[in-house]
Amino acid sequence: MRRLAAAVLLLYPCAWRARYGVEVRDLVASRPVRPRTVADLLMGAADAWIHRGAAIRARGLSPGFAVPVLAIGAWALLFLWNPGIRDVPSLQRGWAAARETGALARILATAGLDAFAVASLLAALSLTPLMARAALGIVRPRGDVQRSVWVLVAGALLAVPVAGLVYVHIGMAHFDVGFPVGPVGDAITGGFFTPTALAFAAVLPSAAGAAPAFAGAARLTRRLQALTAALVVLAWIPGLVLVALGLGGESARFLVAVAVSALCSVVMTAAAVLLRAPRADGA
Amino acid sequence: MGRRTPDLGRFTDVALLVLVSLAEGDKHGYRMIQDIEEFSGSSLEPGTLYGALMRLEERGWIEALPSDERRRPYRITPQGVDALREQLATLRRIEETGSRRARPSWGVA
Repeated sequence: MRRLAAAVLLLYPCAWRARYGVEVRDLVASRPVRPRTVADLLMGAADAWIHRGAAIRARGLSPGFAVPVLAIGAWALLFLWNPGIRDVPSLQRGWAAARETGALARILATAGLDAFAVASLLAALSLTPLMARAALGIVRPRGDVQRSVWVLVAGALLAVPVAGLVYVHIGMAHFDVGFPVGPVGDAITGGFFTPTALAFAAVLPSAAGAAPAFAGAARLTRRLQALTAALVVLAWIPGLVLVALGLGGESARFLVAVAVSALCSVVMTAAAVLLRAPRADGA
Repeated sequence: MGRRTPDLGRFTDVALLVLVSLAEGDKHGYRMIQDIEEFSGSSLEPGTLYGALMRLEERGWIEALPSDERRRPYRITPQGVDALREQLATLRRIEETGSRRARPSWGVA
């Protein structure tokens, strides 16, 4: 029973074990261990994971964790673009089947299209509070001018990919520039671009937010980005319903690609808004 | 037991027992379990105890003391003492109200 209790300790999160593991192992070794003890440790492990989730929400994700998630997500969306948006027969047959439901299909297509467009524009707009604050810091220098220059330059550099992604997304979905094909493609295109745009934009408040002078602007930027993330999640709903209405006409490969893209998209937006400034102690 | 303190959830009662135990002096987990068993009759298991310790530490109500040994002692902080006083005051109000209401009465309810 004691060995089982010790094994259960391995189910706790690493950070928890690093902090309390030695103490709890000592308790397990020096006190009577009953089935109740093992059950209690199992409950404790579940609680530690759940509580860890709450703590992460409060403190944010470290760049060491969030940046690889964002990079992998962006690459995954890029690879999923072909089986998702360039599967013309699936898009067309799916729309033909969905259209049989009447006005609902059109409403869903418009809702997805517009929600992603607003999210994309918000992602780009979210850079402006920090850049405006940095510009003000240069024009009317009070304190750390170097930091203002750094934030402005970083913002301008990040604005290039963000604006590029927004431009391509809006161009494709709203102005029929190249792919996607038809209303189903239009409705879900944003899901492939907006999370990556948001990921780039999220770097700026994480980089600048550590400086007290930028804390207010960083907070506003984060709020805009949280709104963007919520819109991305909501925007996927009509697109996925539309794809579901077209079941029968779409290939299995297309369905898997869209489902995985939606998942990547949501995980990326969550990682982007939870990305926090690296702490001075390196933690 | 008293007002439910946000974030402590199902650990509210255990947290109170821990605070009462530490109010007497610094203790490590093993000694805390023994002490709590002695004064309350509740036998705490490690998972429950450390779930409460983690939350109390996060709220700044207790703090871990440096130790080279495997048994790390904990100390109640001034904020922890204030929180304990507040919770005990709530308990006293409940106890008074409960005693009054549970008193045998010979009349119409």
